Amino acid sequence: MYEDAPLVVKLWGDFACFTRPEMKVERVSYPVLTPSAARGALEAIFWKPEFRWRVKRIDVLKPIRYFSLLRNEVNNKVAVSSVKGWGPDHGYYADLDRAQRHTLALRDVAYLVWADVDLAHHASGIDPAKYRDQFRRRVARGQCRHQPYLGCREFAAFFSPPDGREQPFPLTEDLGLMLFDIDYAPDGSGRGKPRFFRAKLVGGILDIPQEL
Amino acid sequence: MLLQKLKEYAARSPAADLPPMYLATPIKWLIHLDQEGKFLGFVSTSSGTKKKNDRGKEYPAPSLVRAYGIKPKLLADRADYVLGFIEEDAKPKDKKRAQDCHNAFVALIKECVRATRVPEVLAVEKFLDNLDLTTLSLPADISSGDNVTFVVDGTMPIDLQRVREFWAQTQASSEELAQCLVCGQLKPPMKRQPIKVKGIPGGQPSGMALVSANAAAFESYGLEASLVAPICRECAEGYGRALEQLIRGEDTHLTIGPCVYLFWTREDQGFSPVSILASPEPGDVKALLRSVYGTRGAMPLNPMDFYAIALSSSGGRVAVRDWLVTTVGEVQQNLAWYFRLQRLADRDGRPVGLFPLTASLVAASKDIRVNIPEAFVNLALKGTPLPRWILYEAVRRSAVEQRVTRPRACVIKMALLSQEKGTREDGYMEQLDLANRNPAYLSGRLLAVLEFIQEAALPGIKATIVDRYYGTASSAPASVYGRLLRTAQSHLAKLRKDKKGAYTVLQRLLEEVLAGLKMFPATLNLQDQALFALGYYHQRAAGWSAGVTAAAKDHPEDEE
Repeated sequence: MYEDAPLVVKLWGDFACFTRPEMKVERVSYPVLTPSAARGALEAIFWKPEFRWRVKRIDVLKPIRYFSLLRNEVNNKVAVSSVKGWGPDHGYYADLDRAQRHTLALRDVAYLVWADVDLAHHASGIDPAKYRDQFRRRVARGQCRHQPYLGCREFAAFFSPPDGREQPFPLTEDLGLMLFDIDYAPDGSGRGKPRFFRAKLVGGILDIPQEL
Repeated sequence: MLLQKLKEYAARSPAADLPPMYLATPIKWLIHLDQEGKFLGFVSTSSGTKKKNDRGKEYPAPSLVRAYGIKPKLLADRADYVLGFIEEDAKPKDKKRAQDCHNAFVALIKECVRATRVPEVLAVEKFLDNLDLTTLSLPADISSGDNVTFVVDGTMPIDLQRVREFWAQTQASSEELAQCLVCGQLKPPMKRQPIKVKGIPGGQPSGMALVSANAAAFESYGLEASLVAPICRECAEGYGRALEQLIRGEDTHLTIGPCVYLFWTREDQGFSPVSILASPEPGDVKALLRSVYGTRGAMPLNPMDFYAIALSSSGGRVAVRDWLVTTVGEVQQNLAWYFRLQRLADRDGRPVGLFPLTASLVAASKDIRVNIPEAFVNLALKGTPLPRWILYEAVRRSAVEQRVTRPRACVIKMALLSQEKGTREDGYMEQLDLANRNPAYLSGRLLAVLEFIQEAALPGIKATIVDRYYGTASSAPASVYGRLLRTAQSHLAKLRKDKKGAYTVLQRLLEEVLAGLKMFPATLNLQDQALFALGYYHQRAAGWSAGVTAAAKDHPEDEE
């Protein structure tokens, strides 16, 4: 009877930035939590190789507010090879490799994320209800593998089970194409292609197409 | 969403008819040839005005984004590409480069001839084969940076359909298909965006990319440059052209300090907040207020979608500072509130433009940081209250300059009142408020009164007490007013002998203000310093006789 009981978790935070891929250098956030960011937050709370998260619906609980911030960031990525070369005397000096970048982020956000677990092939025969119950217990206790975050690591997210009084902020808007997820190349190279879906906020609720 | 809205805008503009990979390009010189490729002469397209930056008439011409590398454009390009022309005094390195550019240009023409067999291009090829710059009668004022193209027997080859198709083909992206994030279709994405955004304050004049990853940290998923965000050619050109047009448009762009604002509506409605923000005319503002407040409830708000975007430059890239989607009706309502907030008594009572408002917070206009105009535009378009630091800047600037200018008084009033939307009746804080017994406000009024007394007693003096004491008086009134009042007494004594009439009026005004002040506050906080500034400004604007007349009316018992 628990077969279809959806999992729902409330996520909130002071800041959030769900970076649009087209404006990722001078970052601009999507107005709403993206499914892939929601998946990341769920994985932070509970994850096992036996299943993967499928986000079904996102409720936006607060009005959409932007704010802008300017930060110094570095131009390079940390590669294992270059770290090896640093040694005790040749550190990496972030000051010498900086770019000032602007971010148009969101402030004061709260969402309800509705999701389900999809079992992996090797887990056939396991009752997914066990994972759902584990997830619910973890959310109730506030346990997580690492602190979930809202789009960027530095924007920490808080989570709890919903208390039943949450109301979606009544906002109906066509959000255009939104990042759904990345299709990674099967060879493990880390190369991937972004995939998009048509996002539409109806009465503060974003339904995620399940056929993707 | 932003790019999609821009693309929609491009679709309704004249630039929508441009062929793929074509852009309206200023071309200064036309080389006329006959069908056989015989040289007939140069024709200048320049308007004749001796403007320095006259780059000639605009034609739709092949376009591409070029950095330092050698990449020819088909049939229309700079003189060094088309003719191999370079100034006499150029460095040998540049001369060599001009030759390389020219060779690449000729190679592209030959390729075009092979692929299309268009007779006009064939004529150009013949001309280029026999080209000898030493015998060609070049115009005297040609420079290697001028754009040049050909006219063969009255036709411009760049206008021919087959030439256009060929150019689109050579520029087609060879990338793997990907889902375009603007239109959603599977198409080859552009590795580099075909149109660079020009005209962003502080940016590179040659233009900057809105979408690109030009350093390792900006790349993702092993994708380089603009492939991180797959955008197909049509969409990339669409948003690029829209930006170009909005930045150029008279009533679609507003540049303040380091930031350019672009405004547009989903369908053309003739509504633009540019002129009313930049240089508001009292009549226009009155009409706006009447249309918003005069017909409350009677007329529905205009539901047409309204978009605004704020762009600035950040390290050679375009940064989107702000992005707003709302309706024309909302904007009109917020604009009306913005102008109501800044209403302040003055002789002419003119509304203040956005630039004087922002400039009143800094020492020189070059110090305007992006977030200052941002705060005002947010108030005007979204109704977002001015942040507290704006009040701080205004108060500090007044203390530093020892002066409360009209724009600054407006800013202070807006900053104080924007926090409390709709809770105050109309007219609040607009002019001298005799009932206001706030010690800070009265201290501000007192300073103005003391200044009147000094001005009356010592006409024509250069530095008044305000020039010397405004800063201290506005932050720590108790420490200066004792001394100022003593000085004022001697001024009044002088006036009593010389100008009896002024003495009576000013003495009464001084008493009126002092009556409300039980004691001078030791220090004033930010809010109070703002009230001090307004008190001073109001009293100054009301003048001294007006203050007394009003006071007399307010307190009839003073008449005895």
